[in-house]
Amino acid sequence: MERIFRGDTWSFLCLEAELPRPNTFRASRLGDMPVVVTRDADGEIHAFENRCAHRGALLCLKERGEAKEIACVYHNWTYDLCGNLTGVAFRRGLGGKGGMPPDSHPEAHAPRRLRIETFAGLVFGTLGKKAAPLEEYLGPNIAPSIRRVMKKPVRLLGGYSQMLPSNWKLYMENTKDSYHASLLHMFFTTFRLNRLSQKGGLVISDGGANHISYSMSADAGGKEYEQAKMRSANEAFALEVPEVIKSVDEFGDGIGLQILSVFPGFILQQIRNSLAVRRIVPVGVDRTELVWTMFGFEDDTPELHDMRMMQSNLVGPAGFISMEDGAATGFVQRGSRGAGGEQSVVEMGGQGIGSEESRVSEAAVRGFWNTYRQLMAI
Amino acid sequence: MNPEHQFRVQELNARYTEAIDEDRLESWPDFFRDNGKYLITTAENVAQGLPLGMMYATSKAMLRDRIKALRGANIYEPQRYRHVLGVPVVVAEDGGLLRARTSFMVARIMHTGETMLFATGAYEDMVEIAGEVALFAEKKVIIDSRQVDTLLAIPL
Repeated sequence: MERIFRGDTWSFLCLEAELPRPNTFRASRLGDMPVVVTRDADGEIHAFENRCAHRGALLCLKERGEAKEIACVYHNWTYDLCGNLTGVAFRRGLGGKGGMPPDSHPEAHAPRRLRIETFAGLVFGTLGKKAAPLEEYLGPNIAPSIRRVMKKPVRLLGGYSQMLPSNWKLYMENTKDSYHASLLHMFFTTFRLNRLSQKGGLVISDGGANHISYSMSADAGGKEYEQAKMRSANEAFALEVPEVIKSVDEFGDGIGLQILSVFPGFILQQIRNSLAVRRIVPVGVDRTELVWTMFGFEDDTPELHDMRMMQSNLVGPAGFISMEDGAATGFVQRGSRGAGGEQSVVEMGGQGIGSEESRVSEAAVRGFWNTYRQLMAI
Repeated sequence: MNPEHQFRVQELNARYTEAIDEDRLESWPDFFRDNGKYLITTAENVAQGLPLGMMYATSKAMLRDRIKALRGANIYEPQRYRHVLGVPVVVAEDGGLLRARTSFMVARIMHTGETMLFATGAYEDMVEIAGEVALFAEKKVIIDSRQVDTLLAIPL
């Protein structure tokens, strides 16, 4: 937590759209550290530790809401929306007795304030003093693909959390694993939403922290999966209502799937017209909260809105495509319980961590572990 | 409140949850009208007026697709549910349909033997009663927590 989440990395905190007006707040996390993200009266966004300077109690007890100031319920110490301590109850005592000595400076213990940067409607925060500017941290080959999706004012559609029975790293690794998608998720393969034979590729930032896996919608109709008798290729499986996978090329570039991750815990998802941000919150060594927020755009037509509703069936804990990821990371957590001295094999695509055209590769997984090992000095 | 109405809603939900708990999922869509709607969402989404949830269907055929995918495509460990229902509150009669709310709790029993409280919430139902036949015109499953453990394969 200290070296990664509270170190020189950038964590996604929330969408700007989750702070829709001045004087609103949203609870979030920096790793396991609770934080409050606020939009002040002037519209400026701030984030600070959700911890009272006094005794360390949570300041903000709601997930989201409106407030002009935040008061700790324990002893009524108050804070402005920048996180400054503005009031200490009975600081001078009562009737000349009690209270705090004049040389006390509780302000010196104020909740830590995060450095904030917003990028294309996404709010990121860091405590790291040496963290590079956000756009540089994202990398020149990653940032444009965030802008590609986040191209217009966002309209929130809904959210939920998937509680993963695994360490946070196993989910990040799963996200960066372009090799598994069409093998584990039969829906992808059967409906040719994502096959490794489709044109696409892996884009990996310098050092491996961030990645994009993408594929084009068009499919040559090859029989590679069927010939290899892959479990995930089941031609007998047909839908009565194919509208669940009906989509439009709303970005105009033919890319039907783009999964983008930013180390350590952010994922931007475009699966056809299903758009979402996913935020990884480590809860314990073997438990992780994956916070999903689905969105569209303010100017969506009713038809596009309906498509996003139908495609909501593809993702999340009940998603035809993504339900398996919750189970798969748990299988690794459980399967490797007695194997602390063993190693897993991450050699698809060789040893490198560079971008490549083939998604039959674990290059992005290696990039993730490379970044992790550097930060942990392993 | 018309006790007959309350009884019909209660009986429909009792048979509905029994079909799920006894793994007769192929009969699950038959509790709905052909154009029946089904949504699983969270109380947080409802409170914020957000439309999107975890499962969404606008027809019985989509419910059949759900079960077909569960049986043939999706990967999940063997598990089953046990629903416990509260007494339904019939809120209104609305264009010939009964609008009713019923609390539920669902335990999930894994093949490993682990049992957990998987979900609590309320069914917000629109029920059509035609003689002996009662069907869901709409069923909204509103779970109290935003958190779902691991995955939500079997419907609620």
